[in-house]
Amino acid sequence: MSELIQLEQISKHFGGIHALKKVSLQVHEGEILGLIGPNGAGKTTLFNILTGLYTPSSGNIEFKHCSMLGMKPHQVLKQGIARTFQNIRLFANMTALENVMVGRHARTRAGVIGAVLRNAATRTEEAAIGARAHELLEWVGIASHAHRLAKHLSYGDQRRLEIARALATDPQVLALDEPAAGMNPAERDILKQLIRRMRDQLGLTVLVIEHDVKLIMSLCERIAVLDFGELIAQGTPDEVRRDPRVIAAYLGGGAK
Amino acid sequence: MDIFVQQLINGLVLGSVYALVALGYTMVYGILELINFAHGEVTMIGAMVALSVISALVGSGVELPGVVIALLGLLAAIPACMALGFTIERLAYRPLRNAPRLAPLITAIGVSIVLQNLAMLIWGRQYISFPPILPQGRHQLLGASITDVQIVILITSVVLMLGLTILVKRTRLGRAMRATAQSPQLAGLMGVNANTVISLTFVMGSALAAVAGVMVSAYYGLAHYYMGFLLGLKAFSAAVLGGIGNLAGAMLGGLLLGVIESLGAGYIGDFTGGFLGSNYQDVFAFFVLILVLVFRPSGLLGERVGERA
Repeated sequence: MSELIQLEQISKHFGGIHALKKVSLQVHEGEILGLIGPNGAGKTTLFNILTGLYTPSSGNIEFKHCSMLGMKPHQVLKQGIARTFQNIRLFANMTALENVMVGRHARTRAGVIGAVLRNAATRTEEAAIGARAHELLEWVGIASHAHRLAKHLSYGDQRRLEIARALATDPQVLALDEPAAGMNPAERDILKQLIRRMRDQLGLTVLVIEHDVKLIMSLCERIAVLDFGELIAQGTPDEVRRDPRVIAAYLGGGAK
Repeated sequence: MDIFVQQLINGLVLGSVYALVALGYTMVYGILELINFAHGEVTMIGAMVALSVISALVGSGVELPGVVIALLGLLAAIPACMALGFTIERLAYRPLRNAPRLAPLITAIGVSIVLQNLAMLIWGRQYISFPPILPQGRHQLLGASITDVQIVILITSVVLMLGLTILVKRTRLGRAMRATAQSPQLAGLMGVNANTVISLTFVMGSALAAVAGVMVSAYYGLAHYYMGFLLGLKAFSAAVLGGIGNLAGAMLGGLLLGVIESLGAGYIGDFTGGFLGSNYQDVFAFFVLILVLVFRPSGLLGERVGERA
């Protein structure tokens, strides 16, 4: 397995708060990597840096051995890293299908002239965008809701719609920020299978932030643990489970 | 009854022009939450540019049918207004994108005054008349009469409105516009370039304004450097009436306002026993605006939306 993403000594501070302290982490191609840690450990900050929403205060990120420092979010997306959000962020007043179609934006071209003239190339592209979006909705299992407004979907379906929209950007890496939050056990099971299928069938590399440790342990090949902005452990689920610093972070290290 | 039908026709014609201008207001508001008060002036510039071209062509004595000359004027006005709309956004609004909301609003009023004065310097203070080059045919319809110009205005407006609706609902660009309107940041994450979308919104709105300006000057046979002010305010009222930010609302609001105005002007004399005449026509638009703001601030088709997070 080759290295796909390389984070080197990433630090990020907001004023006096050090959200991340010299975090170095490799992501291998085709793995499912879990990112866990207590609240405020810096997991989402790391995702935000990875996807170009934040610029790190220091350190370097490489994707396929090219530096991504200073790239805007849509450029990162075009490079092949897509994400979902902890607090669901959909276009609430557009249909599920349209949400996914917007996701195709970065990979399609038709501009204003095509929109006005509706020439053959534009119509072919529109049809292709629509077909692909349908396919993806089917793939995540919500095709029956294609024409409902995003805001009218159930919570679990909204999360799956976010995944479909991310997939529409043809990513190589998918970063999921708490995809199981607010899901019941049955929905979590479906989600777990969906993530596995994305890796196995689409060849994606998946990063998952999740609080449900049981889910992470059974899903991920490798897990990285953050605590107060520091990477305190990484390894297989078994290694991480036994790591004393991880146990201390989760059970309260101060109480010796 | 004849008067009623006649005023209804006049109202629909006028209203369809309001609707075209109102679309420009509502499109910009939908994306930027900015009332572009300079939009009425863009309409005026469109009329002025077209009239200059038409007058020059008529004056040069070229042998062209009147309709072709008018069309050439329109074809000059559209790109001129598109460039103007693009420039206004670029110079006046974009630098204030992240400023408090009041700043671009006041800037918009400033731009409007600048454009009025610019037009006054270029075209003078006097009314400019539309050369009598268009066919003056009249047709009988349900006991009322409708002119060729009125028919052309109605058809053009309906075609443009349908075209815009399809563009916004069905195309990649339209989706990008709607996505940007809902959440510029999220749209940006999806690779939608908000600046491009905003520029195009201004350019499209200005193209519609150009058409409206030319049609209104052809309808009244006049253009004036101040004509954009009242037209703009009425179109703005129409956009608010329909629910600002809502495209269908702007169209409905424009048509309704035109009809209300026209019927009001036709009957006000009867209702007030001749005390008030049809010169009070302009009052109705603002009367409606006040009623809407009091009883249904979100407009006829608008839905109550919370502040954007």
